[in-house]
Amino acid sequence: MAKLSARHAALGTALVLATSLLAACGSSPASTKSTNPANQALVLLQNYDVTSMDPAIAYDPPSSQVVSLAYGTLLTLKGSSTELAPGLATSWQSSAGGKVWTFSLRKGIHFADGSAFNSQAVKFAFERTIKMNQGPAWMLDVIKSIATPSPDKVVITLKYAYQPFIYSLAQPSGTAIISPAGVKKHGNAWFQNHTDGTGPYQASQWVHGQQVVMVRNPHYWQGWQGDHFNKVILKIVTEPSTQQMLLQTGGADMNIAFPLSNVSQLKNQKGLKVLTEPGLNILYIGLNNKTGPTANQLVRQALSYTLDYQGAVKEIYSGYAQQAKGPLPPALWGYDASLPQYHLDLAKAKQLLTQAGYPHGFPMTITVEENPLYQQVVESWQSTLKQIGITATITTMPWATEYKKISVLKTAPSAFITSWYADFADPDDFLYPQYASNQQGTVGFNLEWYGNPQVDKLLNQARVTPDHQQRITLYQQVQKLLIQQAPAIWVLDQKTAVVERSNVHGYVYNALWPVNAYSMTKN
Amino acid sequence: MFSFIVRRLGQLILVLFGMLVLTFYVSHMVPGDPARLAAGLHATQSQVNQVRRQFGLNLPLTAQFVRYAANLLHGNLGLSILTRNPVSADLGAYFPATLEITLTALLIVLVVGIPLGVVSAVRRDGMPDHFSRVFALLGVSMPPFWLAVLLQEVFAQKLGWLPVGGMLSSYLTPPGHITGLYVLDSLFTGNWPDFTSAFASLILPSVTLAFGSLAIMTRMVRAKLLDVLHQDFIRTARAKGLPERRVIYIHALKNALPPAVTVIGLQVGSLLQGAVLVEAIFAWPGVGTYALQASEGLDFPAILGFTLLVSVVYVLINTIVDILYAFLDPRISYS
Amino acid sequence: MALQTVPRPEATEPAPRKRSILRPLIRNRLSLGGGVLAALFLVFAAIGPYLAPFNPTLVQLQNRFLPPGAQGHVLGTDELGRDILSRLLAGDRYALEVAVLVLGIALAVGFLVGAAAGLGSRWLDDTLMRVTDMFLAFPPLVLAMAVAAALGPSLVHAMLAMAVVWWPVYARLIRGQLLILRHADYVEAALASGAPRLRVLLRHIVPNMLDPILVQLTMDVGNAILTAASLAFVGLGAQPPSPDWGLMVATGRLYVLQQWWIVTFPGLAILVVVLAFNLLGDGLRDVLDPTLQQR
Repeated sequence: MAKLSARHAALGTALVLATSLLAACGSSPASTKSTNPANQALVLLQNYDVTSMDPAIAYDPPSSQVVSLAYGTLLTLKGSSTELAPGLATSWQSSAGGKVWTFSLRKGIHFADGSAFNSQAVKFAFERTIKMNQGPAWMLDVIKSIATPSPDKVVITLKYAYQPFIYSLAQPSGTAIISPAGVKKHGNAWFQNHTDGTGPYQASQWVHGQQVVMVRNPHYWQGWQGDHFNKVILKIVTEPSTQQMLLQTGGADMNIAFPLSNVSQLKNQKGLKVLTEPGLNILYIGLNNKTGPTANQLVRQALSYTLDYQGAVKEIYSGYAQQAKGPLPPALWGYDASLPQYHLDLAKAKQLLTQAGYPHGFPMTITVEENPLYQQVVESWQSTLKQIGITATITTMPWATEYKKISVLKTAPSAFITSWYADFADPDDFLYPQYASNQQGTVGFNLEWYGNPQVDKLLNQARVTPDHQQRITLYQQVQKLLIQQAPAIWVLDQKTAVVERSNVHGYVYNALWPVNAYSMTKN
Repeated sequence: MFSFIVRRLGQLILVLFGMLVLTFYVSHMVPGDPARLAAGLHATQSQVNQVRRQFGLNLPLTAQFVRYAANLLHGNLGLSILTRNPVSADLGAYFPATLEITLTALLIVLVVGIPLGVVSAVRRDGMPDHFSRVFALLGVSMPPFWLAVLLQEVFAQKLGWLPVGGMLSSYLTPPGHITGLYVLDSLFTGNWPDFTSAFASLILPSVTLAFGSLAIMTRMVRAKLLDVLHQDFIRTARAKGLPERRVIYIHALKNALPPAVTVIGLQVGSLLQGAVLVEAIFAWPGVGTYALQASEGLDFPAILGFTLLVSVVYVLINTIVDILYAFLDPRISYS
Repeated sequence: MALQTVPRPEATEPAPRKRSILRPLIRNRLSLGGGVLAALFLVFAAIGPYLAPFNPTLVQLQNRFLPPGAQGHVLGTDELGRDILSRLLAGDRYALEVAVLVLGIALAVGFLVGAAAGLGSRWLDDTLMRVTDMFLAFPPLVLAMAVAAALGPSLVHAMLAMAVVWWPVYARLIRGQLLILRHADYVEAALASGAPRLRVLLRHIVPNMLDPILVQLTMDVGNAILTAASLAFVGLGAQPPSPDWGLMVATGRLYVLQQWWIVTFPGLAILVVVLAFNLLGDGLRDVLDPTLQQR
């Protein structure tokens, strides 16, 4: 790889021409301004190891980071918003009330192996995800057939009209387009540890538990003119204090999801920027709506008055959170700021408990996964519960164990704390899996065993309604019902702490997308 | 002697088989649904079932065991549910990092432990004895994960002398793969920047590991040396008027060290399990980090693979130590 | 561990147990210090909770991260505003409970297996020892992790898991002692004079086995506390809000860089107690192990 400095290139027009020509042909990644090798690589901290580089499997943040750098998707989101933006597709439209979707594709794009991107590749990639039936496949489950009338046109027909579909394409899990030629050549298993997509950086080395090194894709369609990193390194560090020291000493450049338990410790540190960004998630305490005292709506309402929300927001989350109003985060469309909100009021809780027939409280069980912040929230809750006579026992366990317990009614605890993170920017992704009655237990994520025919009806109606404003109204009705019936205690919306060294530039935060290193620099 | 070795190896195979049965059944008692975890939060029941079939989790436990044991005979430890790679490949990828800190820790134990033990024995009940005993005992008494964060805080954060974690600075390219140990590989390939970075990264994790095993080394050297010093040939040497230094450092040590040092083999097991507590804190990509991640994700094949790996190493070294010990200490009968 | 079963020639004829172990122990200042600290540990287990200046489990979020000395919190407060000194005092009892229960179970099981192996037929001995070897072949923490994970995370399960790991050490130790003592002259003499076997066992053998067991137990108190802390570190030990020292270190390590006191004091508490028992055990071994007797 020729290393030309931009200053030299400016000396002769011929050279400039040559450089840009080369880059335009996509045959040779051109220069970067910086000569310091540390500035030609971006080191991104990851809180745990990548599990898979296969776009049909990758579903966790570190894996999605690899996939989003190596592959392209039809749609993306604009800046930090949840507004749709063109990706590999330049335009899209729906017909038949949201049952048929037509996409026009960008022309002249090539995969890292040099083969051409076209409508066949889109069909191949989507069908591959559906067929492999791994983690993110459920988002494409609704697809009935894919037609390719021309190399730059794709028509997707759904099983039923489903408005959220378009948003589920604007995220990297399961929807990234893989090279059909690459799959034919290497087979599926190869993609566990390798990449072949249309994105700017491709994986070159994966030292398990340590780091993933990604290098420039010479065929990248936006070219390599200007200042871009030669390499992107994903460094895996699980301990927050180790991450903190690495960032301070320059051993790493940034973490877009710095552990919130430790973020307050990074304030006012020289050489570091800490940005607070809204998240698309909700931290909630699910209550058992089917068995035990919590099956009683009055008890659930009483419990909603027993949590020290402000303490959780201000102290435990050090302000990197906002108290929830119902099940949707404020950054998502459909959120309604005028909805009522529960607050800490032990007298009121006591009164509701007495009304429900539990004047002296009752014993209850709470499960929590190994997350220091969740643990602190339930420990704080346990302490206030004790003041109104409720003795709570907390058990910490790995998520897999906890899930097995709460997804079976017989072993379900009275309460569990967990977070729901958005897969795509649509309220349906929050409300349907968590509160539709056909999603109870192991089917979806309705682990509260909540069921309300009226809510079911509204949710289904919102799925097929094409009008955006009408959908918002429907979701607001759902939220009102949920807040009143209190199937869960919605605690707070966790913000995202983006920590970067002050010499890192060009990062644009988006709650649903990992780092786009292509548009970033370091000096 | 020969029959002693044969018998010892026979026992070894029995123990290994028992171990296999035990690990398999114990780890399958774990409540939790690994298939659900691997398939993802939102996976539909059919997706979960597919993962279950793929990993044979739908078969009866005994059938799973037979399948597992049969695969094992072919060197196949199954597929990791989390990483989807063969467990043997995963362990192969993670093991060199653990080997690197374990061997370095062993070296530290020898280099520091022997002098401490000798001083302890020679100046028995004096200040040096007390000092070395307390120092060594501090090591076994300290929670290793606490020591790890303390060392990080002092040497990486406050003083800035050593890296906080990782095997190599992110900006360097790992040396070519010869042994898999970065320090050796960078030395062989003459890659100086890699060598200094790898060596500096190695210090804190290995010191943390070594500290826990120091006491046993010191104690063994002290005990063996005291033992030897009371034997007749030492009295004879002294009676012949040999200088005390010569008596201790040449005659006594020559006889006391080999059996004492053999014992260090037994420490490999405890060093390997110490890796579980230490590696993650130092972002060290070894089998300890792998095991911690596997136990959080209830990744049975990976947990089994790790337990087997550590146990086999442990048992093999125990057997070798026993045999060596029999050679070195003539008082043991082989019958 | 393999070494402990190797009979030492010097040990084949132990003198009947008469000498005082206290005097040489007191002479050794280090072991004495260890003994005093260990005794303090026991005392605090009894009275600690009553000395605690604050409620050790009361969460006061507005008081979190207070440094030592602030607002009457001598050792500061933790991430939920709980008083660290009070938690340490309350946690002492947990640490002792772990040690007593784990070692109690391990000793009981170890005694049964060891006695059966040492006194039974050759075949029984072989079988039991192979099983024991199998358990000893596991690195203890790894096995304890597997068992604790299998039973589900809780302090009780962690203790059971540790007992599973510990009994083989005692089984081997007791069997080894039995094999030596069975052929000791005075035992043979007692048997030859027609004394009942059980009486010989209880009067002549068991009292003479106590020394090495005592040494092993003393050292293991520290080991047990340390292992319980390690299990808490990997999330398989004590559960919140229990003021378990290991749990306090595990959760406090997140804040080591700015709020050093949260992890430092419980870490020190573990260190001091484990060190105390190790020093005491070391001293006891010196006194009781005949191969190290001054001649």
